Amino acid sequence: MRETWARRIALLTGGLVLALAVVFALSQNPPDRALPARAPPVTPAAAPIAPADAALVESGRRVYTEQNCARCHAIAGRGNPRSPLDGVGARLSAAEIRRWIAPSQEAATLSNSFQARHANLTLTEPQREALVAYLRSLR
Amino acid sequence: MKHVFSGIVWIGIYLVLVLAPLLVLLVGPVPPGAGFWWDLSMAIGFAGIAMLGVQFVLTARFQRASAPFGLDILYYFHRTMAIFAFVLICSHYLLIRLVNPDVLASANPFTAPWHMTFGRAALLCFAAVIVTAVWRKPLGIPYDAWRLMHVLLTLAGLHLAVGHIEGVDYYINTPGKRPLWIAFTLSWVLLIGYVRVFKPWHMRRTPYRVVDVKPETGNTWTLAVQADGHPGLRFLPGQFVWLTLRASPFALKEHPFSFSSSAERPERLEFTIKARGDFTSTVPAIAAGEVAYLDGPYGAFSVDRYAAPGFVFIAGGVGIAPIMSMLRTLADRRDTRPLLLIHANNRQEGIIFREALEALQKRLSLRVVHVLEQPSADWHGECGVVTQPLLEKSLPENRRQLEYFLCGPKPMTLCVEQALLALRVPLGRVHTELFDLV
Repeated sequence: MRETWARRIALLTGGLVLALAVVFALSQNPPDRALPARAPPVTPAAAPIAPADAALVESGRRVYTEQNCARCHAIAGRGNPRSPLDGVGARLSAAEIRRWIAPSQEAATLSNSFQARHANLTLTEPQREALVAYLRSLR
Repeated sequence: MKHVFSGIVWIGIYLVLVLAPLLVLLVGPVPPGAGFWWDLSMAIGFAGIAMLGVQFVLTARFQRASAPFGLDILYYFHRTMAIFAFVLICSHYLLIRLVNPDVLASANPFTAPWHMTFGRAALLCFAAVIVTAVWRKPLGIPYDAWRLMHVLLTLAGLHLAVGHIEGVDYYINTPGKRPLWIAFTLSWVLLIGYVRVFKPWHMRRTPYRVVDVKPETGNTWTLAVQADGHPGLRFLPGQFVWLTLRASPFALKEHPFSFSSSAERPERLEFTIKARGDFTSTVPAIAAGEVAYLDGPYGAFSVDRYAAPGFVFIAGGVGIAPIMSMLRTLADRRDTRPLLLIHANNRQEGIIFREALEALQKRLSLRVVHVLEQPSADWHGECGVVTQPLLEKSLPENRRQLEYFLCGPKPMTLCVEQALLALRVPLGRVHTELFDLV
């Protein structure tokens, strides 16, 4: 008898927890502002990319994959949707992107800064420049 | 009625504790939505960890909180909720694996970020906790070693999980929420301090002395203890304690045993124990004068909780112990209500408390029906097991008004419950004590 009640209360608790989790997910993502609509549309780059740059961008794309940037970032819906990089090239200058990827000593020690997480990246100079070129190409 | 009300209050408190972290997620500033499945995965991850945190509360043996339900059922609930919470945190991982595998990347701990490794390690710890708890016996893990492992693995899992949450940092990264999470984590630490340090310390200050170890029939022993320098404890007949012998109360080497003595004579507490396991087999070697520590009393298996015109007790083997406590207590109180005891044993010579029961029959309105599974040729009583026809024959007319106490091996308890149900005895009047959960 008590086991039956224990199972009922377990079911009630489980049901409430799941319901609250669904409410949370729904309230975060109302149907009318689903994720793809919110992400800024990836417009074609205003200026055509020169062939030399195209090679650099391609090598930056490889750096992005090798470094598993998708763990924290998403591009065109692939990767961690928390920090989308779509259109970052239109929002930030090359210098600003460089500051994000290779934070200063000061920014790297700020405990709550997302910038600080990039402090763990070990990139060579050419790798970093390629990555910057790739991110700049996302407009 | 008092128990129903306080039971509802405690269930409410439990629900608040489990749901609070999720409610905190819902209120206040939250990062923008990241897709339904993503956010659902995060929410059930939080819910799972909140539930696992509250698991400690369920088994902390708070006497007041366990009184309405019985401690055994809290352990049963603890087990059910643990499996549910584990399914939740597995789903947290699997949803991301399915919806967004790029995020997980390599599982290699040398290249993956530490907080992702922590999350994976926590999942493995919890899997180990579940497997070792559900299949302890088939895996051949001794009880004492299992308890230690259970505590260490859950603690490791929870701390790794909190590390994972801290490392991911999205949902708790607001000034209002971080203190709440710190408080949540601290409350586990405080609770563990209470259970593992304060309670054992208190038990050490209130020791008991073994005054007698007496052999009964059928490899069963009655151990008697007395409080040493303190007033001792009062209990309801049918309740049990966690008993520690030849070990420090800090050593986690305690085992639950029912009182078999009268609750009206709390100055001498008796436990009747069958020597069969690794710990119970040491009982015959215990000598008078040795120290014992008790944690209790606990349990809802007691005649004192029900007003009824009469009681029926159905015992299998050493399951007679808590029933003996109830009968002795009723005799000491000069209770005149009609009582029936159906006592199932293997052999005639193995009937525990046969003479003591005969003596009790002179003081109580008690009818005893012995049932033997392997009777000798000269046995004239009931044979076999406790079946529906036997119950139908033995139970009085007013069987639907009586309260029933069953204590014995699980298959017997289940069969008798089914038989009583078939005899239209309301299940709410049939009481059992769950043991052997792990």
